[in-house]
Amino acid sequence: MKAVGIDLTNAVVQSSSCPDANWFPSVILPMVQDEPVLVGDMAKQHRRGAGLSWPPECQIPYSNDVKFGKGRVSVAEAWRYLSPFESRNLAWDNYQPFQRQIFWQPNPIDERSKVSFSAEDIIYEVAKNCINDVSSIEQLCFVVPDDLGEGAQQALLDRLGGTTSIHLLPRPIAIASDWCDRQNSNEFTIVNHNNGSCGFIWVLSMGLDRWEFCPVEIRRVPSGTEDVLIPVRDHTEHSSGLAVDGLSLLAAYAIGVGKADLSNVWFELVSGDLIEQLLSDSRLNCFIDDLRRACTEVKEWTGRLTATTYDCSLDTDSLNSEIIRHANKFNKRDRDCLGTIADGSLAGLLVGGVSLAARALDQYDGYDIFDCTSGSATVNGAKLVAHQLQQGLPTYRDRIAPIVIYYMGHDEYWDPLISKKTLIEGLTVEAGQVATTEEPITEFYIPAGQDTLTLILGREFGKKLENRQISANLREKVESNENVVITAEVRPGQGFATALVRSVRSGFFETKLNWRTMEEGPPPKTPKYAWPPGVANIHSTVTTGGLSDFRRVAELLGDYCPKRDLPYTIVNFREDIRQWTLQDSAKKAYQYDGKIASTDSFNRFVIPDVLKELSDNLGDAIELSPKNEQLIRLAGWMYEACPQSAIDAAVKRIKRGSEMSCDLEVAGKAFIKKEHIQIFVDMFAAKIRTLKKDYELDSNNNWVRAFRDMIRFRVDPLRCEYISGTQINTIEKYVIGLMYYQSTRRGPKYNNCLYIAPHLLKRRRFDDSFLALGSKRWDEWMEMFEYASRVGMSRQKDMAKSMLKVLKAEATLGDIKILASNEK
Amino acid sequence: MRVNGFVGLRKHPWGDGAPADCFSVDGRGSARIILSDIGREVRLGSLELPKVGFPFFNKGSWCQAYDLPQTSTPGQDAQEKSDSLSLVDIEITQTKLMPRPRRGKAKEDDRVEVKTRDKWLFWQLLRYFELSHPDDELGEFEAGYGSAVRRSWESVRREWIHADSDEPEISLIVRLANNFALIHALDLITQSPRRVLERYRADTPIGRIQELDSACIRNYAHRPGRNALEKAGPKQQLQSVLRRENIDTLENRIALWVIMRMSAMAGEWLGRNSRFADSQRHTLVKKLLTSLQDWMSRLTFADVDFLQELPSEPNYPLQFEPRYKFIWETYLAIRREDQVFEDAWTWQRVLWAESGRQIFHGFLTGMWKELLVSTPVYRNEGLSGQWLMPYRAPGPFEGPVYLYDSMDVNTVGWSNLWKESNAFPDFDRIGGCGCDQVLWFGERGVAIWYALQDPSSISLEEMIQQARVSMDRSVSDREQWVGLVIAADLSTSEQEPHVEQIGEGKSMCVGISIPMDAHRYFGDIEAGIEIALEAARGLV
Repeated sequence: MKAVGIDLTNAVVQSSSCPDANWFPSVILPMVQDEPVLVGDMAKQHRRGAGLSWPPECQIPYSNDVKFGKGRVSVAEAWRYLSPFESRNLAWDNYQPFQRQIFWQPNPIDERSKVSFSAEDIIYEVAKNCINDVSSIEQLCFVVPDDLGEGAQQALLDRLGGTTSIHLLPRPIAIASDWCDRQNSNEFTIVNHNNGSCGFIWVLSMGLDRWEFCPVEIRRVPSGTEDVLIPVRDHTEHSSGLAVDGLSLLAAYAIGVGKADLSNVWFELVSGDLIEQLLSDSRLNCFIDDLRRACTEVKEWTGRLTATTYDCSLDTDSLNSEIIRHANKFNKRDRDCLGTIADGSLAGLLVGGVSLAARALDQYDGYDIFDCTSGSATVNGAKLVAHQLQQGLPTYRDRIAPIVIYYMGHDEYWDPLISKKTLIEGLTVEAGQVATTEEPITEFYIPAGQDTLTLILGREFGKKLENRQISANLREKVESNENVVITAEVRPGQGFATALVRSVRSGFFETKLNWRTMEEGPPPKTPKYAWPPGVANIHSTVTTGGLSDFRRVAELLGDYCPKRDLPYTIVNFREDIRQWTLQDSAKKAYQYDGKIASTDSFNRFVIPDVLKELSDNLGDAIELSPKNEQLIRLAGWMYEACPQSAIDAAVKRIKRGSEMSCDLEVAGKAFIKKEHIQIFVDMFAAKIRTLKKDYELDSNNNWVRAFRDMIRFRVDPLRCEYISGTQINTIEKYVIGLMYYQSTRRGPKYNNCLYIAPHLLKRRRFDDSFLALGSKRWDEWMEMFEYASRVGMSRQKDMAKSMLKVLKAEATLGDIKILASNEK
Repeated sequence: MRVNGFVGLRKHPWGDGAPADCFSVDGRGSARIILSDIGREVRLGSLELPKVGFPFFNKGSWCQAYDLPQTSTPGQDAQEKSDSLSLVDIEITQTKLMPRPRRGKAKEDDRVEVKTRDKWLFWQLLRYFELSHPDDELGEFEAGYGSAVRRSWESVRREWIHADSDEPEISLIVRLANNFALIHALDLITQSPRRVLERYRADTPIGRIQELDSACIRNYAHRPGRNALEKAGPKQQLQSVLRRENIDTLENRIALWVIMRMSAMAGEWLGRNSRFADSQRHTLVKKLLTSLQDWMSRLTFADVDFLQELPSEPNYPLQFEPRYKFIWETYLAIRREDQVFEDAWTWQRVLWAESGRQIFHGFLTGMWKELLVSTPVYRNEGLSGQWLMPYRAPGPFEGPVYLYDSMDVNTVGWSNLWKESNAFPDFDRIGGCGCDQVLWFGERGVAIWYALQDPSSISLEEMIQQARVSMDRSVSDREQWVGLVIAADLSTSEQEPHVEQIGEGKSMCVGISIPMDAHRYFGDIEAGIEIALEAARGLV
């Protein structure tokens, strides 16, 4: 036999390799750690954990006390350990065999006598027993609960041998595969021609460890000369598992039909032929009242699976509504539904004349079951998929929950920003196939002096994003930043994805991470600020109703005559547009509401043409009167809508050293071109140098203000190609020197220094060495602001305190907001 | 004198359990001490006492019996031994204790009853060796692992009841004879033993002196004369340090000890198993003996002295030299076996209780069908006379019939849980009669004792009479109970099993005395057991 399917999730072991097996899947745990376990027929015949009253090794639980465990463990219990309900709504799990062990304590007074096994050990022992000749098997399909997480999948695969010839097959897909195989594909109409989808079927699996109810998409795909139907697994949206204790329900049914009572039902299930009777005797029919009564009894049953807070199985009256509530999560009820199928040991049991599957759904017409089997579909499906995989035939497809990787990127202002890239896309792949990263991730590097690279990954499940982190360790620290390339592979449903981290430098570093050591964690934290992020922004709040002033001023400027005095309306208008109010924005600082936007002024105005007309008319007026301070000043406050003639005039005068104060306003708010900014900076630096630190003679207040505007409204002026290192150092020293000089007076000059300081730090975006932490200059700044944080007005002290945090690159958005809100 | 916690001493398992002011007991039977349940380990001298029988409720408190050890030493005459009992600070004396056998050649001088007792213990131990060291293919349900072996009742019956007479006994020497690595190591060692260069001082001709140490210099100074030539005297010799090869080292002494012990063991084994001369085991051991004698006579080993005392720690070569590692392991194995025999002597009452169970369980599982299979688990080495791990009793049997075993109750931390178990009527009182097991048929039960019967001390008839009286006193409804005493016949002469019975139906008590080699009398023993069981079953 080359292709084998095994199902250990139902009431009897089903294996196409061992068709005569008719025993309840359970394992007898040893009395001492080295003793081999007993499984199969031997377990069926052995007394340990058989539910008899004496000797204690027969008792369930051992010593009649749950804290000592059980000498015999059902495989259903092991499945619950592998896939606990607490983790069913997670995109991935961190199952660790050593953290979650099944144990019993043969000596009730000696804890050291504890004998423990991992759940996958238990399953492996049973699986081993129902494969006759391992060497002859080329493809093994092993049915598993749909909710089995990646950690548990990996643990199980590792235990089963870790070869690619072992395939874990989700139970609903096994059932759907068997159903597809029994259909004539020509009878199905394709509703989505992109992927061949014919709609979906609801699959109800009724195993012992849990039930599953989920929609499974059915596609019609070509296979040779004909089309075949294949299911598509989608476990990326919701868990399909229902916390039904199938084992207890089976026991309740046995009691309900009078084949056992509470005291011997475990014994009859594990050692007798009760299961065979229940599954094969078609005359058995349990009245609903009897089942209800038996369920109440079974709540006290010692053989029950570890109860979860979600368990709904033994409340027969609410079972229907639980299933429907569960189904409603999928939001697919009426769309292209082909029907409902059910399989599992419990599915065909007759309750009140109808199958338990039908009864579980009977109140709802939308879930009429048209195909109900008692476990055969699961194992047949497993065998079928094994055959398909072995022969390379079309088999089911699996949708991958996309995996994203977070990294530290930069935004448009070159501020640090947590970005994410898709490592694995959310595609469907054929069962058993590997999905890989399409475009390798190159944004990562191992920083100099470090020997670890930590990756933070995110994955969505049911619209909930989960994050995990994992580290790659180098043998030794790297001397300089080491760029790496990251690629990933995942075989959906078949264990952990693997990530390959490789250094760009050939042969330096390469490691493969299987994410077994993933740790849960929050999403990556927003980095702390070492400078105020972004730029200051004034947003235009002018509405169409508020345009009359603009039109009026444009009209007046259009009629401008140098010989007449400037109408007072224009002066008032200038005073009006220079008013800002700080926005109360939760996400950003330095955001203001005003009349004209500081960036892209025309386009962000309600009707750009109105502003354009105003700008043009003002430009004409300035051409007529290039030294009219009122007009120049108005031009400055129009930011990027500033007429070119005003800029030209200001540049000309600044360059000549004959600048008026209004020219500096234009420079600060409207200079954008590199050459203009360089002219301004050259002159400003020259003025500072001329001062020779004699701050008593300082009269550069307007220059300081202009430079502050320049660097707070624009990103570029602080770039190294705009302003040299010498120039920025000159300005920085001047600011701190002046601030120190003014510190006893704390007048407007002091405030100007205080206000410009945070913006100067934006130079750090482009120059790591600027006021680098621990440098001499940095120490001086720290000293200055520590002093400033202790003396002065409370507003000034608050700003200084925030500045200290920014200087130390530890500022939060709150600190930045303090700086912004106190700036005038 | 009344001592808190001390209830009394019993010469035999049964008794009234009344407080005793006598701290002395006849040590020829199954002596035990009864203490009110103190919930802590109890020691007599340095030995921890094993619990025996069911815990029982007596005069307002739970009581527990403890087996007393056989603490006699080698000698000729009956002995009296006293040891202090922990916790209650009294001295317990056992009188008329049989002396232990002497080891080595002095063994020949032991009294005949000592030799017989030793042989009887050895007979039991052999059964356990066979069961815990299987060399055949294991059957269904059976498995060997680490320090224990899981067996089936079929194997138990084969060993204890239908002993296979085609195979000689398996004991340590057979396992050693099978250890070809050891044999090779011994061959190599006796051919070329490890040697060391030993320093010694001796007068040496002046011309050959190479090394002087401080002692030589002192000797030089004490010699008369003004210079070296004068001090060298007429022989022209001075004391100096010399070196010579020496093979009389610890590792070689231990190797010699191992060879001699193996040789003695092989000789004894061949003597005991001479009737299996054609068997493979016999051939193997015989060949080993020949080799051992050959190795002992090798001249290379002639200078190795006998081991004066038995070390407990290995030296470097014994730990790391590949050949000597085998020697050390064998040395330890032989010493462990010695300890097993000593242990069996000390705890012969417990050992019989275990062995008697083996015979009884063998018969039971042969006669009745278990509801489900049970598998006794054997330790590789006895622990205070106990060779089985819990749970040692088979069953339940169809009926259902349950076999409650006090050893299981006591050894797996079950005593306290037992007190709340309400397993059968009088479960809390039956322990008062000292029975070791209860076979419960649903409404009737059989109380079973395992006891030593020294004919010089008590007859089988007296035993069952006393047991019945004690049983009747302990239970609330005497008509529910039948007694069965399974006694080890410690007669010095060869005996057949005896079956004694008193009473009919109600309150009947049956006694079976089982001689050594029980399998030879399978029919008689089975008949005795059947009488008791049928009587109990007939009452249902």
